[in-house]
Amino acid sequence: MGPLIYLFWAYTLVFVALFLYLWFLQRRQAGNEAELKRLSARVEALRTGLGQGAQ
Amino acid sequence: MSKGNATKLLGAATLGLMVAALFMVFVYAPAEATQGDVQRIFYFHVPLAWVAFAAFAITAVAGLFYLWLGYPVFDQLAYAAAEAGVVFCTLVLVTGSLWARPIWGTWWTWDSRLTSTFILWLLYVGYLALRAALADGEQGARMGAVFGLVAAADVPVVVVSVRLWRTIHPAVLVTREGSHGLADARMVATLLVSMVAVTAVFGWLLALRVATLRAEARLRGLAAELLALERASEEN
Repeated sequence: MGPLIYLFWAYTLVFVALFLYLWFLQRRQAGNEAELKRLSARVEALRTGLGQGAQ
Repeated sequence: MSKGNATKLLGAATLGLMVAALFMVFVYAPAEATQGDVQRIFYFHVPLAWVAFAAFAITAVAGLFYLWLGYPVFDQLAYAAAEAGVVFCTLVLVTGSLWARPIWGTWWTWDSRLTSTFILWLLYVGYLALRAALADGEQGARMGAVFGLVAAADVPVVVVSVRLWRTIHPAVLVTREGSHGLADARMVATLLVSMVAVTAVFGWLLALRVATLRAEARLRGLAAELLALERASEEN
């Protein structure tokens, strides 16, 4: 095996790190979009209740 | 085309480029005569370094534009580039160390290129720590922009360090004598394709990170509006 183990670990670490960062970003964005929908609906409901309508 | 679709298209193109780059790294490029297969680490180590430097340059330029024009999108771009830059710079240090162990016989040495890169990494970890310590808002953005500008001064130092000081770090692209460290045209082609692939990965991650920061800014705006509406509702 010898030096090939260093080559293996170099590429494994690069791809694991990039995949984890991508996963973190997509998970965070999915959470943000769900929260945006929830808050937008709540704001719209309150506006309607106050008679302001959509702005 | 919507921004979401453009990001998905960029993601698909990035994956295709990455497959092509990996094929060239492990199948197409010949083994280097003296270092053997370990030299293949360089096909990603060099592009990762180029992208990290580009990321920190983007942080500096976007910070400058933020200080000048005050648009939040420049601050979001500066922060996103710094965060992705730290990820890529960490990988530069790790892959460099994994190459150095079998070739130099040590994981690390305080060589000028290695030391200046490590200082660059510390500076941008400091940038992220500073931004985390300061609350979201104009003050944090302005301080981050100034810090990002000052820290970027280390990027040219890293680039020219192999010429300014005695170093054992190889000059992969162009040596002091003007020749390059890649003897075979297939090696040059592999490095170029890897450069494009890693740059595309960075572009994709940067677009995703800016999108999350924009969504979070909208969330803060909506939360403030919700609070005001709830107060008005209680008063009625």
